[in-house]
Amino acid sequence: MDLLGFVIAIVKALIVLVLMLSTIPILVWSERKLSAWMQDRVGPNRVGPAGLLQPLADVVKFLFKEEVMPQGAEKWLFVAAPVLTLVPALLAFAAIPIGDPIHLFGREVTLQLANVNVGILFVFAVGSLGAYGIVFGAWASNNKFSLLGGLRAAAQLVSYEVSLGLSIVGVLMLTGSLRLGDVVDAQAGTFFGFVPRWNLFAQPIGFLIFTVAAFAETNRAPFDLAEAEQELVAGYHTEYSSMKFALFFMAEYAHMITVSALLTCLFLGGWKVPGLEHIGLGPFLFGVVQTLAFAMKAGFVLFFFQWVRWTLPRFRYDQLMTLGWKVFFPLGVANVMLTGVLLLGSR
Amino acid sequence: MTSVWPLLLYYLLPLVGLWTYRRGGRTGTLAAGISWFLAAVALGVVIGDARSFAVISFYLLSLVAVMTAFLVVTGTNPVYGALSLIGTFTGIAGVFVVLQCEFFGIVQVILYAGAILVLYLFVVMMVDLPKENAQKRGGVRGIAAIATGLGLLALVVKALAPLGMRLQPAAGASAEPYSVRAVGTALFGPYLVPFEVASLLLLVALVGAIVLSGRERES
Repeated sequence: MDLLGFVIAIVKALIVLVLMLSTIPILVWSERKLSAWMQDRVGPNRVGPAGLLQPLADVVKFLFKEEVMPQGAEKWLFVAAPVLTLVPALLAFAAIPIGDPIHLFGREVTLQLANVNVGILFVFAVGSLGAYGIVFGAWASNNKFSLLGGLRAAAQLVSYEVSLGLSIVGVLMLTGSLRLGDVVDAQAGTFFGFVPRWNLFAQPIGFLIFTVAAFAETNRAPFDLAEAEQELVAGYHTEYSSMKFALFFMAEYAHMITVSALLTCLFLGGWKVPGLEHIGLGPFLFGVVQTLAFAMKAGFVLFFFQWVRWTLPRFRYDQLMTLGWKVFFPLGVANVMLTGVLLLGSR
Repeated sequence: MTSVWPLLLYYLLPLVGLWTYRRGGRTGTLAAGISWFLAAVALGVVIGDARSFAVISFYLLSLVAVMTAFLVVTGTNPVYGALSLIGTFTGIAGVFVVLQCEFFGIVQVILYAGAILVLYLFVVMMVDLPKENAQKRGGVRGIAAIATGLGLLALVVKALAPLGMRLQPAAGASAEPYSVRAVGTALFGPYLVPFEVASLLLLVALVGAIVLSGRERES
């Protein structure tokens, strides 16, 4: 790797980091506005136009709040846990491509940090490490509500990781590659001339399982049992205050962004817009439109996440386990079998 | 014979742990371990194994893996032990990636760090184990451990001696022989029977566990 390549890699890393960190406050704002709208309230409207500066005020508040550490807490782990939660959530985005390679400074630049040939697995592996932060933080707090929240997070992770993995096997069988760029490329074009060739239509069962498992993976309602404020005070982050709590909070949103981008890549055709190549845009504009399309799709998925959160009540714990192991696991296996049979039949 | 030092170091570790526990507890053990390993790496560099970026990252990742493995063995708190074990798995995964076996590296993280260890942790937290007693270390048992370790080392050295004791990755590993496709073809081709037998073994273990827990519930 020469110097220019090195600089490009650093700049890309910075752009991804800044994009992630600046999307989080927007998400927080939209979540509050959306929930207010769905509950017939106004929502934040004091700070800035339409309350847009509210997240900024929140940041200031977080920074100035008092840090409290409970007596008998494991000091080292208590401090490390929020970091252990946020870092994997940010890191997982590294393998997600957001557009076709573009030409800059006379060389090809991929719109992706790390073009790993097992990209999907990388996202899963790093994402699953995020649960450790929650579990360790819960344990280090020396609080029974925290511990219960942490245990739920661990059990939930183990249960839903399996379904999540199974749900994408069908997609991988259609694509024949674990590289996310290849998965997106395979979704270009249309079925029957008018339906986009997205895996959403080719793999509806896989899509359903992936979406539900994604809610469980990100600890979002209706699967936010690790938090469950009506039962466990605030679950795993009961004892956390100030910026340490904010890190947990940011990790949840960072995880959401990663999962939405992954879902867009796997099932919604990534940056592919059917029919775009016939319009005759210049190569630069073409790339811009594609990346915008990706952002809009991922944005819709994020909206969907929030929509569901404020619509559905929380599952009970045994329901969560039953759903994971007795419904989605067999369904995932059946989907793999079905895809295999159809693939063999179409040969 | 130039590069047996990591193995030698590995089997000397119980000795270091024993010695430092009497003096400085966890911090002392950690410091001793780090300095021992740094010395070993420096020795390795001097001997001339570190020639490229890959080799340097191999040593750095091994440092992570060995140090955290050391903490797993010497630590007295099971939860910290689990945390250290995550470090070990991640380090080993990194070594796999350096050797261009990305698939194995990632699978290492998903399976061991992501799933199996969460289960361990679950058990450790549920049972709420008391802190292990540090005083139990050492004595006759420690000496026996060192003797066994040295014996094993002698066996390993004897077995490895004909191969020339090189620590560099094999020259042929740079092509793409460990791609996902190759792994799949190998598992469902030449190794189909061992693969299926292993799955059967896991299935039997699964059924056994369910039967055992069910019996307990009835009584």
